Amino acid sequence: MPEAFAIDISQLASLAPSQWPDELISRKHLIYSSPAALAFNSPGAEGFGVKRAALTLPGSVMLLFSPGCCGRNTSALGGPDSRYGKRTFYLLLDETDIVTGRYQTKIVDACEEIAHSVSPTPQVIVLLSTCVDALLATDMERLVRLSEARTHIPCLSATMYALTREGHIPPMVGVRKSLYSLLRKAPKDPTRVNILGYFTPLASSCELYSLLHNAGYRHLQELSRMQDMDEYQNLARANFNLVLNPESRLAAQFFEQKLTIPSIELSPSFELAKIQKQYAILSQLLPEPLDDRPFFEEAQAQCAEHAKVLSHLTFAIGETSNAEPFGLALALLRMGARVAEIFAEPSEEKLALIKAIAAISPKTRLASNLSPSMLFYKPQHGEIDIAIGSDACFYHPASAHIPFCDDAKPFGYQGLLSLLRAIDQACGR
Amino acid sequence: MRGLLQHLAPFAPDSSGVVSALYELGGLIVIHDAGGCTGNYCGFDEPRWKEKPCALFSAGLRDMDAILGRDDRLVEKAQAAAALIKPHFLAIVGTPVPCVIATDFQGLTRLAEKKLGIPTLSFATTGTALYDTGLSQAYTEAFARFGKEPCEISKTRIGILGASPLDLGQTHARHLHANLQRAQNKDLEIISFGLDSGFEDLARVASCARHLVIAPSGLACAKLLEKRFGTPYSLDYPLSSGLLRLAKEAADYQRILIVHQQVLASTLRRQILEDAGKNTPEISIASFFQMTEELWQEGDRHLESEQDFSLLVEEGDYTCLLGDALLLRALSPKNRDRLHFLEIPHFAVSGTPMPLGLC
Repeated sequence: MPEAFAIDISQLASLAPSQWPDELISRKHLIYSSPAALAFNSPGAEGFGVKRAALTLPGSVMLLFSPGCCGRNTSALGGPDSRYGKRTFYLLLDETDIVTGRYQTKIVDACEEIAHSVSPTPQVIVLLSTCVDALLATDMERLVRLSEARTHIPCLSATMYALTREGHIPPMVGVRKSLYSLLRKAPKDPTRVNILGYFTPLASSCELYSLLHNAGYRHLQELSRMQDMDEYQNLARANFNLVLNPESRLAAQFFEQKLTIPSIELSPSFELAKIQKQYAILSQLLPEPLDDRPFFEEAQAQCAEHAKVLSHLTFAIGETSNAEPFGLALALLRMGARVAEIFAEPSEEKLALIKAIAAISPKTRLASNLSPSMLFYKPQHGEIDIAIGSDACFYHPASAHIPFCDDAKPFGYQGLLSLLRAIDQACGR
Repeated sequence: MRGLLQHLAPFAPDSSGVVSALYELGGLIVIHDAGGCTGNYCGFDEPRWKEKPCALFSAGLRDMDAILGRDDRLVEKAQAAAALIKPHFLAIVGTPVPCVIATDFQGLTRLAEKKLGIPTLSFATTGTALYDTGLSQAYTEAFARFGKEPCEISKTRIGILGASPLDLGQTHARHLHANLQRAQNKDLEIISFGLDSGFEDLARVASCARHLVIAPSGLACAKLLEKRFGTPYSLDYPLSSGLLRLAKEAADYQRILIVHQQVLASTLRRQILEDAGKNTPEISIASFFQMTEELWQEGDRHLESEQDFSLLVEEGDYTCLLGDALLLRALSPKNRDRLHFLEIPHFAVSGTPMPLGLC
């Protein structure tokens, strides 16, 4: 029986990225489709794909125009009790539509029909295109203009081009920018800050809210908390943006260039020292200092309390969770835990983390969910105590599970504390 | 507006049908896509995915692969995977991307067979057609290619054709087999091709004494097998006790509409008429999917759109509707309220599994 491919992280760290094994580089092999790889192949099936992300806009409806196959999984979003129910519409294309391009006329007609039939009238119509339009180079700007002229409703386009996943603007980057494209320049309000990065809010207990509020920023604005399009326009009045996810950098550029709103980027981390350092840097950039001491001290105490427990635990860490896998692995190792396995695709951007992990735990194994050899993956009996991430949970059915995939995003000291609480629960503490 | 779905979601596409038919046959299946179609299939259209692992892969197409038509790279990747997996065959399944770039599937098949040295099937599915078309293509192609010449025929061996989870809403064939055993009152050896059966069973298809076609998707290959091996077939669906109970309940109504795959619907119609006795209700069958003349009766309708369905109910003065609960979304509240609704999930429509009580 063949075995799943895995490599010791020390071995990987000793190689230049150009020498990394093909099994770890998705463009060099077929993409294995297992439940652990679902988030890669179909981000919408778990968490957020472009479709669900596009519906983050308040009062929006979405028209997906595509062959039927592209909208198939969306029916899971549109149940009558779902918040997305009655907000998703499909214009099914047949081969003649594609060959003749006649569907472009139908899109405008469909928008008109939706505008007339939906009550209350939609505040925004999102036109969602697929790989077909990526290849046909459909002029989406024109379709948006025509649809707006016909319906008198603001329209925007978003693209679900899986083909461009590794391109200059991957779909999840593009949609983050598209969602802000209806903002118009407005006078600045120094008490407003935008939080960019996610399609759901940060966990309500996150200290970032109170830290910024105490520093005079009374309005912390997140798209997912907007109730209507009037409130949405307040995003254009922000003093600055906090970017919490690198996939929002393009959106931040849009804010900078079109709305003259600058951005500060923070990297989510589960390491106490890094969290403290990031707040210190942020504090230096703001007119009022941030006092994170009480939060730091609480988190420090919790880390100390958990040190002994963690030193007896072995983890497997996946990439389908609310944590970046290499960063999470390093954080756990530095807290004294053992990390036996990481399931993720390495990249040059992660090289520093990979080397840091290798220095502490050279025998940590790295495997890619997408490698065809994962068809033969067998867990080593009793090795893993806790699997973090729904992919790692899939590989280790007998271990304790922490999917760590909640819609409410963990961040900062709150993120670290929520991780420790989840570990407690997994251990039955 | 034709083609606009305001209430329903798209049904399972042709590519899902192909993969569903081949899923348990021990092949290396490559969906020729960028990842999304594979994700849709696995995450939504394949209920066996979490319990029965399969060598199913996405080609992982990227924009430059599509623009430059780099079929050779696909074949190289398939070759590497085949060396590891040792499959019985390679299947390449089309999606909208190869449709738009007009991939030469025949050429791709020849290239792959030459490089991999194993039988290669390819399906120019486009994602614009429906699952039953894909199932039908895949069953026909697989039986034509791998069904071996007549061996000894077993009188008690029955082959079931068209047994896909997309129609059955079940991941195993045991309930289906139990229902058939009960209905026939005989000790039969039953093979549901492609469901709880593999490549070797398919290769021995000629040993079946007869075939039972339980969905229209199995009809084309039943005809092929009749022509090639002389195996007779019949169209029938082994009704479970739960479905028999629904038929009895429906028999109290006068105007009945059944919306499902045609073979299940037709068997139910026959059962309802039998249960109704002298009360002879009017029963129509409507389906969004393939319908064969062999089962067609006056008043039956093929549905092209959700508007077709809502109009049919609006104008048909029906008192009882049997079908998937998702369909109710397409009806006006007035029509929903006046109908007695009996739910029979159709996985290809809503992704709802058949509840145990109806299996």
